[in-house]
Amino acid sequence: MNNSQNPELGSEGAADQVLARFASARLWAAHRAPYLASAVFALTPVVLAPLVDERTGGLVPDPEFRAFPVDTRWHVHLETGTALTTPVPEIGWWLLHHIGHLVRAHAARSPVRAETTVSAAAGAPGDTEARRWNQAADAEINDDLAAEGLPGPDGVISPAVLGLPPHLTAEEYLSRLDVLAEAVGRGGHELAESVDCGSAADGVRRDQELPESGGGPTELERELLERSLAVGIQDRVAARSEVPLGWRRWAEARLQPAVNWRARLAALIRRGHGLTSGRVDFSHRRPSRRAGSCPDIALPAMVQPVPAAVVVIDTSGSVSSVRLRRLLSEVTAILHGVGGTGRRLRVLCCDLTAHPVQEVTRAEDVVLLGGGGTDMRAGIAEATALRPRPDLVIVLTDGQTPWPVRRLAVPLLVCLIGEDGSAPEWAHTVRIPEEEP
Amino acid sequence: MSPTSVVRSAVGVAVAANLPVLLWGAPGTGKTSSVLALGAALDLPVEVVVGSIREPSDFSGLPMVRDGRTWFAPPRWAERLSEAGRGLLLLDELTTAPPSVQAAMLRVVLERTVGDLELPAAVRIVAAANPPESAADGWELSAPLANRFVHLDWQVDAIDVAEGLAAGFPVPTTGPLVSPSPAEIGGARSMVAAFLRVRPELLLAVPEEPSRAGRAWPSPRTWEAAATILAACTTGEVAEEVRAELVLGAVGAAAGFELISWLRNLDLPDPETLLSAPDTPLPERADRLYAVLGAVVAHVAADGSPATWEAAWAVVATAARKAPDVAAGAARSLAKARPAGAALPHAMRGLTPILRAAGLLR
Repeated sequence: MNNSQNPELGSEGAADQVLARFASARLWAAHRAPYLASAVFALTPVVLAPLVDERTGGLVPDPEFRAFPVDTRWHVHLETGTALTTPVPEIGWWLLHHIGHLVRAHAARSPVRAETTVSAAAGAPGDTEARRWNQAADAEINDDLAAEGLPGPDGVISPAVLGLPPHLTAEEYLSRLDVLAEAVGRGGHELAESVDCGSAADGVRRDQELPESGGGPTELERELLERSLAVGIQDRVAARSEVPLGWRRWAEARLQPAVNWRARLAALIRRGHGLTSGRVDFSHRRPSRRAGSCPDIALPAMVQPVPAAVVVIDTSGSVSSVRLRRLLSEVTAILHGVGGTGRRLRVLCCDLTAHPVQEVTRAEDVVLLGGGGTDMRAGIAEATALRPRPDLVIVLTDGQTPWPVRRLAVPLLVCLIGEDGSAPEWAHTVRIPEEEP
Repeated sequence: MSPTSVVRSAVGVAVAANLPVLLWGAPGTGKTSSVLALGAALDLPVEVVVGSIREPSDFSGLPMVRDGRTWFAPPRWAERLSEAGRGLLLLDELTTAPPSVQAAMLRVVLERTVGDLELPAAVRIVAAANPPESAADGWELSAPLANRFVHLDWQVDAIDVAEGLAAGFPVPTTGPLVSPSPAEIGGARSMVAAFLRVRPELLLAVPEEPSRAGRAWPSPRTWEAAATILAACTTGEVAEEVRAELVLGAVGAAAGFELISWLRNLDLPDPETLLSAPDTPLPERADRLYAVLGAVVAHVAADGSPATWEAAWAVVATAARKAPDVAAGAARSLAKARPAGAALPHAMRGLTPILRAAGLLR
C-alpha cells in the first residue's frame, strides 16, 4: 500500500498503518518463536518521518532503514515507506533478529567506540569496522533463526551463506570475516549487502535516535527481562520443546555465568595454603610487639609460617609444553603473591615415573623432563614423600591419567587442561580451556 | 540515575536501616572519603579502623590484669564510639587483613562487641574491601563474615571524578536517618516469607566457589536483611534501582533477581480477580499485559470449565482495546484450550484482521 495510491491518507494515517503492521509483525514473531515472546512485546515502535518522492509526492522506501534498526533502549525505528512495503513476516523476522542483538549485548561487546553519532548510512568510509562487527553479530544470531525454519530476507548474512561453521560467537566470526573480506576484496566484490541494525548491534548512537532520556526499559528491567527469557528457554528445554542451540547456550550462560578460571585457581591456591598451614598464627617463640605495655602478661606474637607447595607437572607426550609453561608461570605468580616473591618452589616433572625434584625461584628455570606415558600417581607419591612436607600439591595435567584411590594427607589441587580429562572427586579441580583466552 | 549515585544512595539506605554494608572496590577510588562525608552529612562521628595493619587483639581486646583478674581492654576507637553512643565504624581493607584478624573482626560485626565492651546499638557498621583479584596479597572473605554484610560494588565514573577534581567531590545525598518502623519491617518480612514459600530452595545456598562464598549468598540471615531493606526502601521512598542493588547485595544475584521479579509481578492483577471482574484495569505496557494474559490463559486451561473459558474472552476483549496484537496471541492460545460445549464468543471476531495480517488465520 502506498500513499500515492491513497492521496487522502495524511502522514498520520500512514503512521497508524505502520503501527498496525508492526503489531501484526509482533504477533507473528511471538508465534514463531514463543520463547522470545516476552522480549518481542517489550519492543517499542518509533515511526520515522517518511521519505517522500519529490516528483510524485508518494512514499519511497528508504533502503537505509530496511532492517528496521533498533537502539539500545529497545526502540524499533520503522521508516514509513519501508514498513508499508515490507511483508509482515519479514518485519517479524527482523524483530526476532534484533532481539538477538539486544539480549546478547552486542552493543556492549562491540569493538567500535565512536564518540560522535553516525548517520544511519553505513556506507560512510570510516564505518568499515562498525559494518564488519554488525555482520559478525548478524552471523552469530541468524543461524538460530534459520534453525527455526525462518530463513532471512535476501542479502542477509548467515554462517551457512558464508561457508563458516555455525554456533560461533560474534568475536570469532569477526576475525574470520576479516580474512574472508580480504580474500573477497582481491576478487573485487563485496562480501554481502550491508545492512544497518542500529546502535543495538554496534553501540554507536544514530542520528534518528531519541536523546538519552527517551524512555525504554531501565537496566534493571532489561536484566529482569533477560533472566525471565533465559528461565523460560530452560523450562522449554526441560519440557523437550524445540529451542535452537544458540538460544539454549545463551540461556545457560545467562543464568550461570562462566567462572573465571584464573580467579578460581588463585582462590583455591590461597585457600589451600590457608587451611593447611594456618597461615598466620600465634606463637610464644617471639615476644609480642606489645609486650612492653603490659609487662605482667606474656602476649603471643604473630608468626607467619612459610607455606610449602609442590607443583607436579604432567610432561607426558599428550600435553603441550607451551601450555604447561604458561600455566606454570601463572601458578608461580599466585604462589609468590601469597608467600612473597623470591621464594623457592619445588617442581616435579612426571610422565610414567617421577623425575628428580627441581628447586626454582622462577617458572622459567624449570626444565621440563619426560615425554612418555602418563601416571600422575608416581609424581603425587613422590611429592607427598618430600621433606619438608608440602602443605599443598598442585598438579598440572590434561587428566588422562590414573589417580590415587584415596584422599591424600595434604590438599590436592588439579589444574585440568582441556575438556576431556577427569580428576578425583576429593581433589579441588580447576578446568582450564585448551585455547588461550 | 548513574550507577555511582545508585551505590551512594544504597549506602545511605543501608546505614539508615542499620545494616552492616560492605563496599567492594579497587584501592584509591574514594570509598573511605565517601564514608567520611556520609558521617559528616549525618552528623555522626566516624572511626576508621584499617584491618590489614591491626592484630586480632585490636578487635578481641587487649588482655590486662586488674585486681587479679584479666580484662580484655577495648582499643581507643571502640571507647570513643561507646562514649558517643552513636557513630559510624568503618572497617577498612577487610580482605587484606589475614584470616585470624578477619575472624576477630567477625565478632565485632556479628555481636558488636570489642573485648569487654559492647558497642551501642546506634553504631552503624560500614566495611570496605578490595576484591582479592585486584590486590595481590588479598584473601577471600570467609563465608560467615561475608554473609553478615550487604555487598555493594563501588562504582567509579570518570565524569564524576573529573567534576569532583574541578569542583570538589559530592557529599552523598541522603535524607535524615529514618529507620523503618517495626510494623513496616513486619510487613516486609511476611512478604519475603511468602516468596520463600514459593521458592523454598532459595532459602539457603552456600556457593561452592571460594571466590563467590566471599560475596552475597542466600541464607536465613540475609533474607532477614532483605526484608529490612524492603522496609527501609518503602520508608525512605528510594528508587527501584537502589532497592534492587541492596537486595542483590544481601542475597546474591540469582536469588535477588527472583525476589525482585516476584515483587514486580505482585502488582499485576490476579487471574481469578480478572475473570470475576473483567473491568479491572490492565497494565499499560505490552510485555506486562502479555504476562497477565498468559496467566489468565494458564488459569483457564487448568480450570477447564466452559464458564471460565467464556469469562476469559471478556478479559481478552478488554486487552484488545489496548494492544490488539497481544490480545490476539492470547486469543489463539485460548481458542486451542476450548473445552467441549463452550461457545466461541463475539470477541474473537474483532481480532480476525490482525490474525490474518500475521498470517495465522486464513
